[in-house]
Amino acid sequence: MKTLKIWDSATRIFHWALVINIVAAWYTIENRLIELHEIAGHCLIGLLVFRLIWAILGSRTSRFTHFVVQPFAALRYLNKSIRLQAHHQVGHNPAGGWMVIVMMCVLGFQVFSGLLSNDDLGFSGALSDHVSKALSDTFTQLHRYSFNALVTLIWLHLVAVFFYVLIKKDNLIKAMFTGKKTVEQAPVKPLYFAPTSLALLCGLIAGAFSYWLF
Amino acid sequence: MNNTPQNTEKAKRYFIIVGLLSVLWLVLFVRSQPHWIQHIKEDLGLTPVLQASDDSFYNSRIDPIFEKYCVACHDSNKAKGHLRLDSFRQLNFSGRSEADLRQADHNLLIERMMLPETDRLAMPPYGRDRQTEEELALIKLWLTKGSSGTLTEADFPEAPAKAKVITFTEINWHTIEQNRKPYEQQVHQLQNQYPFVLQYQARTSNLLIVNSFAIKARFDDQLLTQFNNAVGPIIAELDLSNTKISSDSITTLLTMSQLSTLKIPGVEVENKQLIKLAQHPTLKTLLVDEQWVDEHIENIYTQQSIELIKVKQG
Ligand code: HEC
Ligand code: HEM
Ligand code: HEM
Repeated sequence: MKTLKIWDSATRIFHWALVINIVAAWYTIENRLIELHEIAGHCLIGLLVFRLIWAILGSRTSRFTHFVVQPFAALRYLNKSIRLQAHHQVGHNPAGGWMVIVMMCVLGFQVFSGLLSNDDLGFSGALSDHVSKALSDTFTQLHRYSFNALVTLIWLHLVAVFFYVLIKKDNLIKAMFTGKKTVEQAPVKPLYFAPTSLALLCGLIAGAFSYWLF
Repeated sequence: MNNTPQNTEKAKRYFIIVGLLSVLWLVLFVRSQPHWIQHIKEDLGLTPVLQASDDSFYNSRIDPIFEKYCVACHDSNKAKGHLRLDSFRQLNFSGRSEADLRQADHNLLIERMMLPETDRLAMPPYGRDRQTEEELALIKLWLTKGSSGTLTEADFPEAPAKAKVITFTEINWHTIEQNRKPYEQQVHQLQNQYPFVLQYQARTSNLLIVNSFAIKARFDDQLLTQFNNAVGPIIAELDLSNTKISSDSITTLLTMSQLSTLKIPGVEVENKQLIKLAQHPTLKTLLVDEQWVDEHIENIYTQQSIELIKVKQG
């Protein structure tokens, strides 16, 4: 048994900022605070862009190359994992890796459609002036529908996470907060962690992009 | 984590609970979609189709109000706040709040319509065309009488009569252009040759008014024949007052198939020519000097239901 750092702070901050902003986006729209909703949305754009850069340049466990595996391998893992016949310890598990991809896609569509939305009361997303009113109306509808898809995915996400926490007795949630985890065996090759300065730079670029869109 | 029987049992239980929670969530979701439930019930024949009857007060008086101020945002296309107001049926399903929009007291529709127009929650939102007090009163009246989809206008004697709506049919310029096309060139030519004589009845008409005033000294039988050859079939009004035409022109006039008004004061006409003219198929109004008209002629014109206007010269 050994305590090992698996998540860098950038990925952890990304995750919880993501959660906070999604809740904020939902809460603001429920309370008709469209301006704040837009801010939450643009924060999410920044976060998504950052995560995409980080999936290429970032720390080992955050990279696509680390957690995207053959889809069939992912399904095989999923099947075994549910039967408690397989367990993955460092980084996203093979099935979870695909879950991350799907979630990012749906979230990406959510913000993209948001950018093209309008509320008929004088508010319109940053890109909606580039399309016709009819198309903007269509995207407003899609924006509504895709939120349902997002909620469903979040539910699946939580089911999976709590399966690990409650049944497999592997506290992923704590790891997402502290970055550390107790593992039976450290990987042969030590994990690479990207410098914080690189994370800041990527964050700055992503933030600037999102602000420029605003 | 080992796959001991005990742990496998735990995993099973976990997924059963998750499954149950998912089903519960799904049920709650479906329950928040009253239109699905109604549809299913109707398809199974459990309830009659929910709709207002054609002659209902709702359809004739209430629906047009929502149509006018609300459906831009509350129909199948938009459904803001998940609310549709494009029919009695949809009104029943309410919106996100799931408030009963058919109750008479504390009705969310009314409450939001009565907010000051600049209020954040006012409906319609600020800047939109707003309903009048009368329209609001009418909706309230309908609500207090049970928000029915079947009561007819006769059940609402206290409701002020429906205002007459005057609609202007849209002008189809293309059709007008098409209609004018066959004689366009001839009309143009005549207008150039004889300014102020020829014009269309209206911007939307392809029929002509001929007013000979500007050239009355030159206007003789020959000129009339020229006009008739060029545009005869589309002349509707013809003013030949004080022109040089003779009774011979009556034959020409009789061939003008759309002529409805003819003015010939100051023109000499024989009795029998006037009788002949009464046979004109489309003529409605004739202005003629009093001196050519006797009782016999008047009778003939009355019979033909042509208005005969006698003009006193002098
Ligand atoms: C410019 C678009 C627009 C127009 C026009 C409009 N609404 Fe709305 N309406 C909205 C939006 C957006 C919402 C959702 C946000 C909210 O509840 O304020 C809404 C919500 C509502 C709700 C709350 C639904 C619920 O169950 O929560 C009611 C009731 C309502 N509208 C009634 C009306 C009525 C009645 C009219 C016409 C007199 C009208 N609206 C016209 C945009 C509009
Ligand atoms: C709005 C809801 C949420 C969204 C959209 C979301 C999204 C994500 C994403 C995209 C990742 C991948 C992280 C990365 O690689 O950068 C992730 C991982 C994770 N999330 Fe969430 N999350 C949400 C809510 C939560 C909540 C409420 C919890 C905890 C209770 C949680 C726990 C975790 C954990 C533990 C991981 C790491 C999984 C692993 O070890 O492979 N998430 N989540
Ligand atoms: C740039 C980002 C975004 C913009 C500009 C934007 C814009 C809008 C607009 C204009 C509406 C109003 C639609 C209407 O009146 O019917 C709306 C609704 C909504 N948005 Fe966004 N949005 C953005 C991002 C997001 C994100 C990231 C989420 C969720 C994670 C989200 C969730 C919602 C929800 C739940 C609604 C309510 C839809 C409904 O009426 O049911 N939005 N958004």
